[in-house]
Parts: sequence; structure tokens; C-alpha cells
Amino acid sequence: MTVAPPDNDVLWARGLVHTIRGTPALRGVSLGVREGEVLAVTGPRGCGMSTLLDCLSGVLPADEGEIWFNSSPVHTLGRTARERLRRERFGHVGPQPRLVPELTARENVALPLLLAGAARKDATVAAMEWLERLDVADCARQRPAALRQDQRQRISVARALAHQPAVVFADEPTAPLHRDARDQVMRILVTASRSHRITLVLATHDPGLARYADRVATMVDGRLAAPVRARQAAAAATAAAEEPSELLRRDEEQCSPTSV
Amino acid sequence: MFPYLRLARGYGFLDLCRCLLTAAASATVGALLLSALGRALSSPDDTGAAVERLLWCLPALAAVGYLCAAWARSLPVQRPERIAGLVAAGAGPVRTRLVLAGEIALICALGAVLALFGFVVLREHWLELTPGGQLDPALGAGGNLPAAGTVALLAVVPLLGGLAAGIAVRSVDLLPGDDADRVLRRPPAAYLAAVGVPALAGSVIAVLGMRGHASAEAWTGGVLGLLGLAGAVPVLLYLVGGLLAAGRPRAVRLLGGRALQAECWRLGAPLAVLTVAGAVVATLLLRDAPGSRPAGPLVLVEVLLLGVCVLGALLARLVELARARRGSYASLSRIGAPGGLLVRSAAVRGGGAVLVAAAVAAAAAALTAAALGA
Repeated sequence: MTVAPPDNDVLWARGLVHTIRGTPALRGVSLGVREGEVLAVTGPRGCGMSTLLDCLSGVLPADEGEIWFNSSPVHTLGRTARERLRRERFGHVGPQPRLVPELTARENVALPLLLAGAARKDATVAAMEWLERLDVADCARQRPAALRQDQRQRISVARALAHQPAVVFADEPTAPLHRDARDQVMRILVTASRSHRITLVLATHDPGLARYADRVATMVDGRLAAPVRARQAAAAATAAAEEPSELLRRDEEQCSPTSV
Repeated sequence: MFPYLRLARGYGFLDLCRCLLTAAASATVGALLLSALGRALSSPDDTGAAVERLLWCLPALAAVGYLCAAWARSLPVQRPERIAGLVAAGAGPVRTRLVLAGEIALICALGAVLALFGFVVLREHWLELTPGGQLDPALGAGGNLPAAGTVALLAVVPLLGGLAAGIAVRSVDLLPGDDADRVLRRPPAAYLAAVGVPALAGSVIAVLGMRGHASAEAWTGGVLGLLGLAGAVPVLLYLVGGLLAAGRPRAVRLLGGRALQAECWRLGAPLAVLTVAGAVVATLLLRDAPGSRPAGPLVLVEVLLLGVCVLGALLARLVELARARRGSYASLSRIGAPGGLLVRSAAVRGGGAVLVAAAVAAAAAALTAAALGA
């Protein structure tokens, strides 16, 4: 029997189970993502975060369980319909930029719009806007091979946001970046999510990034370790567990999302 | 070598086809070399004819070397996990290269041994292919087979194959890398000049030579023109790719055109060899057909071998390009690009390449005919 998800959840999953060639990756994950919020999924390496994001975004079909997007089921969709959903409603940023090497930065960013059927001119204009917002407008005509890794990752972030998706799945989006670039990219992702009502699902091993999230879900061994908590509660739990230094705590206060 | 052989148990269908093709090509070259030896044994006084027969083996040897080089170059891209395994087992770039070259030399040696086996079977009349010993002059039957000479002659095949393979493996492919680091190189102006001038000059000389009945000049001009034409293939691929992606392209045309531009060098080289060599050989054969002397079995075997080797090299390169494209295609399907779109963009790319190949083949055939017409 299927139960319709709560109305305020843009994405809702119940009892997700997924096995990768015999290795259990997800062992019954239930999760609700509210519209316009930033949800961080954290945990140690190999805890199943990436698989959870892949299942939620329809890249991997879940073995068991249900996924609902805007009150319509995703788990019953075929491959083509899931591709369409990813193309039109979802955005994705991976741990590696993974741009198409033979396209220029601008063409890479315009690609999701072209795939969704936009006219070439509109796609280019939107791509340029996002490249400017991410401080890489001067790289628009260059190909990925000529760019630094952090520039490539910014372009990949622009590609995920250009078609104004409903949900952006960011799997370790700051993995290839240094700290300064990391903060800037995260701020842009969060700002875009706030200003365009884009829901952001963020998977990260870095507990420091959780400060950008409204709520934090912690995963261990393919399960949610604790109920999804608001950020402050999660931060307090982390602080109690790890006793960060005074310096780090001060840094955290300075970079709180209210200043973003 | 042993860890590598253990890895090789994971051979797929394509790898086995590659092994069989290389072994068959080496066996054919081995047979050509042995028949040259047999003829030399049958008539020891005719040195000139023996040398000529050995020279006839050179194109076949070159073709096998080319095939080995193409396969060796595509191996690290095709099977990155195998290279990663070798590196994890402690093999450096030199040893990895040696192992790849050794594998190909081994396959060539297998082919050469098969050829020797067949030669000995026919020579000793354990099996009669033709009645009455018609093949005896080619087999050098009657006399003793000089062991050292035979082994030295046959060793040329695996040595050449291994050497070509070892040289052809690119160091870049043996190091961990990123898809995004692949550079799209446009043909530089110096290259355009280096290709365009001989092509134009050669074609003009060939056509003028045809009118003026100056055979040697027409021939030189024809060869120059053909070389220029072969060199122009990457440029043409780049141009066609640019045209495909020009204007206001949708995703299919953009991806197909840009991919053709990015692949212009890697795809252009084997395509140039296939089209130019194919057109020249076809023109020569067709011109010979109505003449007095039909092409002998030696020529036919040689043409067949050349064709198979050049086609095999092109296939190797196509597989290499397809594998190299996997990363960016995976990211495209992650952002929701439909599978049909990727197929259509591949078709656009293939169509562009076929167009270029057809145009170059026609030009090469016309140029050959012009040079021969003198």
C-alpha cells in the first residue's frame, strides 16, 4: 500500500534499499526534503551518501522503497521518464567537474538548457549570467583543458543551476577545491537556493560544510544514524562530540549562513 | 609477465578478435617470407629475383607493424583497469610498455610459428594441397631447410610487431589523467602550409605531366599530391566538425560537431591511411584488370593483408575513441541527456567522417589515375 507523502515535502523517500553488486549500500533510508531548504547528508566515507543521492535523483533505481517528487512517484518511472526528470527538474554537481572536454565553458553550461529544448540564444544568455555569478565569465570561451580545477568546478555548478531546477543534488561539490574557493562555491549554491527557491541536497564528508544547511541528516553504514535534525542541534551534537578549538568555533560563527 | 597473463584471463570477445587478427596477419607475412626463402632455395643462382621477392614482403611487414602499433596504442585506453593493476603491482611506465609490447610480440610469434608449421607440412608432403608437387618450387622442396636462416627470417615478424607496439604506446596513457585535460587542437597554420603546398604543387605537376606525357614527373607529382591529401584529412575533419557546430546548433549537432573537431587528429591518421591507400590500390587493380597480365596471387594476398591491417588499425582507433568518450557521456546521462541523443550525435559525427573519407578517396583515385595516365 502506498502512502501519499506530506504536502510540504518536495522530495520524500521511504525505506530505500539499494545493493551494488551484492554490497548493501542503502539499508532502509527514509527521508523528507522540504521545498527550498538546504539539507546536508553527512557521514563517513562509504556510508551510502552518494548512492542515496543517485537514488533520489533517479540515476539508480532503488531495489526497494518509494521516492516521491512533488507528490508524484519516481520509483515507478521508466528510464526515459527519469532521464526527463533529471534533465528538466534536477541539477547535479559531482565531486569531479566532469565537463564535456570538447565544449567551451559557455557551451557546457548551456547544454542542460539545450537538452531541455531551449533556443540556442536564450541558452547562451542564461549560461553567461550564471558564469558571471560564479566569477568565471572570462573563461566562457575556453575549454576545460585550459582551466584550473576550481574554475571547472564553478562551471559545473553553473551547469547544475542554469536551467533553474527544482532540486540540486550536490555530491561533495567542494571536493576538488581549496578552502577559499570552497566557501565561495558553497555560498553561491546556498544563495541560489534561497533566491530561486531551489532545494539543495548536499552530501558531504566535511562536517564544516553542514553549517550551510538548514537540516542535517547523518548516515552510517547505509542507514540514517539519527533523526534528521535542525542545523543548530546537529552542530551542538558535533561540538559536544569533537570539542573544536576556539579558533574553529569563531570561524564557524563568522561564516554562519545568516551572513551569506 | 606472469601477473599480466593472469590479468589477461579477463579477455573479452574484442580482445580475442584482436589477437586472432594479429596472429593471422603475422602468419600471412611469415608465409610470404618463407615462400621467398623457398624460391631462393629452389634456384640459388637467381639472386636478383630472390631480393625482389624479399622486397615484396616489405609492404606486408609494414602493414603488420602498423596494425600492432595501432592496437598497442589503443590498449591502455581500452583497458585502463589493466594498466592500473600493473601499476599497482609495481610496474613503471617502461615495464608496462615492455609488457604490452611483449604481449603483441608473443601473438606475432604465434602467427609466425603457425606459418612455419604449415610450410613444413607442405614441404614434407604430409599434406598435399595441389597434386604433382606444383608448389615444390615455392617451398624449396628437395634441399635442406637452413635452420638459422629460417628462424632469423621469421623472428623479423615478432621483433617488428613488438618494436612498433612498444614505440606506439603513449606515455600519457600510462599515467592517471582526467578526461577534462583532453585538448582540442586546431590545425596550426604551419601544418596547413606544410600539407597544402605539396598537395597543390603535386596535383598540378601530375595533371601537367599527364598532358605533357612526362611520366617520371607525373609520378612524383602524384605521390606528393597523395601525401598532401592524406595530411589534409585531419584538417578536413576539423572543418566539417566546425561547420556542423556552426550557426545555431541544438544539442545533437553541437555535440557531434565538436566531438569531430576534438577527434580530428586521432581519427584523421588511420582514416587518411585507409582512404588514400585504399583508393590508390583500387585504382591500380582496376587499371590492371583489362590489361594483358592479371594480378598474381602474391599481389592479391598482399592487397588483402594491407586492407585487413589498415581496417583493423582504424577499428582499434574507433574503439579507443569510444572508450575515451565514456567519461563525458556518463556525465551527460547523469544530467539527463537521453540515450537517443547520444546515438544521434554519434551518427552525426560518423556521417561527417564518412563524408570526408569519401571525398578524399575520390580525390586520391582521380590523382592516381591522372599520374598513371601519363
